[in-house]
Amino acid sequence: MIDPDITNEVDELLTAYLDKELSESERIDLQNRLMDEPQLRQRLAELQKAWDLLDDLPETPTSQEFTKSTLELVAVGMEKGWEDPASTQTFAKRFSGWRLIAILLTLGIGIGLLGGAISRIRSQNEELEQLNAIAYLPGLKAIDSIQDLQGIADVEDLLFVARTPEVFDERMVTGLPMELNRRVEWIRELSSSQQSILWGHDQQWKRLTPEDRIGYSKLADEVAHHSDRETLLLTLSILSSMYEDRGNEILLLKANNDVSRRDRLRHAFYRKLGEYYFHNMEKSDSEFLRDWFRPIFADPTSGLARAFSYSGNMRKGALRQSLLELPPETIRHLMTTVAVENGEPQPGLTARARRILEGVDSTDQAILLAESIEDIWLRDLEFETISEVYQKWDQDTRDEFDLRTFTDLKNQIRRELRNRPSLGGGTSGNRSSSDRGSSERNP
Amino acid sequence: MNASPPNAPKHTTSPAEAALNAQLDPDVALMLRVKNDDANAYEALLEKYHARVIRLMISWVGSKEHAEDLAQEVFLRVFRSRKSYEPAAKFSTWLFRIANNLGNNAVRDRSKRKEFQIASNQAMSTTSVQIENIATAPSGAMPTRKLDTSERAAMVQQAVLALGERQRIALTLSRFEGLSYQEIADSMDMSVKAVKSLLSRARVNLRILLQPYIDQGLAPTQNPELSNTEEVGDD
Repeated sequence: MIDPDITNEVDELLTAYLDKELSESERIDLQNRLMDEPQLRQRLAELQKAWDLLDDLPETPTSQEFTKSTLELVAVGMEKGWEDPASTQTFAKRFSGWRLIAILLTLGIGIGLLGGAISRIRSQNEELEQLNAIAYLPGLKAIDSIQDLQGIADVEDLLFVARTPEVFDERMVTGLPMELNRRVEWIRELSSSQQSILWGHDQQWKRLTPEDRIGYSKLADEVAHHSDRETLLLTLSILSSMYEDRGNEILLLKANNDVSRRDRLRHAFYRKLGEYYFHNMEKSDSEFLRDWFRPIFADPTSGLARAFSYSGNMRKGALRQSLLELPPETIRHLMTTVAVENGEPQPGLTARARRILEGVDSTDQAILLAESIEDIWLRDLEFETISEVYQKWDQDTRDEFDLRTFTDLKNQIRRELRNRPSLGGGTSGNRSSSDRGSSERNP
Repeated sequence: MNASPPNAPKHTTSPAEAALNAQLDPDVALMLRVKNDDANAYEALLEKYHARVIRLMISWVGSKEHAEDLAQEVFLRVFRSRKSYEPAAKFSTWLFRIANNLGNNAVRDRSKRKEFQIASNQAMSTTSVQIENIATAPSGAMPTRKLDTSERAAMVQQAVLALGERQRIALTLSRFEGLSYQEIADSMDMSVKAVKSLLSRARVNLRILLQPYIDQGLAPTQNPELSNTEEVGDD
């Protein structure tokens, strides 16, 4: 209980004393008073004790990811014209390599998705075709240098050969031999922190311990110099684990050890693999897809999320069908990733996306909400889903959802409502009367 | 959100002053290198200060995620305003001033609109933390037992969050950043006298909130004094 006799003025004096903010004369005066006034001494001790308890608060840890993403944003900002050309050049040079390339590619894809710039996508595909094929698995065994990769780029890609159901099924046999499974486990057990470090900076390879370097090199060699079927299965498994922890990309990237190009290759690889998945989704059963995608979706930072975004204009309906069978929480993670990565990388977007996505309780809503952020895949959603979810939003959250894109989404939905009288205007057979009422309330 | 211009020096720094400040504060020297487009210097400042800025932003908004986003915006503003940087004070004062502008705007923006409520332990609204929470959390079910380390930390954290925003910011800058009253005043755009008052009330309020532990080392029970939430807030 605060002693009423002790005034705010005294508290301020004591606080300033504890904070060493008193002048010399003030300090001496107060010390004299403290010697004579036990109540004042007690008060001082209480204030200090409360202050000391702040020592119990945990430190805010430093984060390499924060530094990295901020540097990315700076690079993006400069590309958007923050700076004069001279300084842009200076910083762009500094942030060159994977960061800048990654950002530019992401931006490019984002623009392509959002703007529907078909020519842009076509250009990306052309660029993709011109890249050497890091995704070209049989080529891995021959990779010794970037030149070799260029040389084999024209050879037919084994990944894309596997388009017939027979080959596909044979390739995707589940249940690897024990020895191969052990190898996969070994890969997965590699320190995730080291993998993150590897991912984070171009020069981090040099910071690995010699033992780790040897380990990675051996694994890369192992992948690169075998062509038997079992090794191919192993390689595919490695690829799978790679997406669960993207640090494992070093396995492939190390194969050419060309730092300056590796991220270009990485992105090309993602895109190719994304295309591969989309090609094969139609030819495989949903059971396989679920098994294949689940661990990938479970990791919000997985590379395959990028692959999907890169291949976002392909087979979206099929992908969505697979997504719908996954738990909403998984979808939220994935969609947050996709939304953020496709969107303009502005501060606040991540938190905003998370806030929104955490506020929903069904897969459909999660998908649709994510799409409302960046207008991803909207056109491929079933109209009825849009309508129903929209009406739910309208009833429950219209005042709480202030993203401009949401307004755009609503306008779009309204247009579709007008254009599709059989579904719009509350005439859908499986919607509730309350839904209809909501629909009719809105223009 | 629109923070006021982050670099609004009260006067133009002379070259001699700039050189002196750079000598006195190595981070000023780093920032001057950033001004000359030295990306390594920017990265160095980023690495050195980001955790501290995040902590300050947590003081503003409570949620770690939101704080990280805001902290990122702080550093982007640092970068964007580097050309107009004037080393009129310690670098940290200038940096925290940017951060406080942003934090203030974020809180103001939040108060203007009704947001989704986040059912997350991490996402704690700074304005909605009730003192009663401290009395019951995290050991409300067993009010008289000894607190372990993590519980004590959680209790202290709740107490800090229960302070008014400006008290909390001043506390963070004083206690964790070691800023002087003058530097806090500069970074919070207020008078030294106001800072003195803020910190005094912060200490007093912390004492009230944590009294059960201070007295007996126990988790607080319902303390009648704690129910006086108005006393804990800002003016």
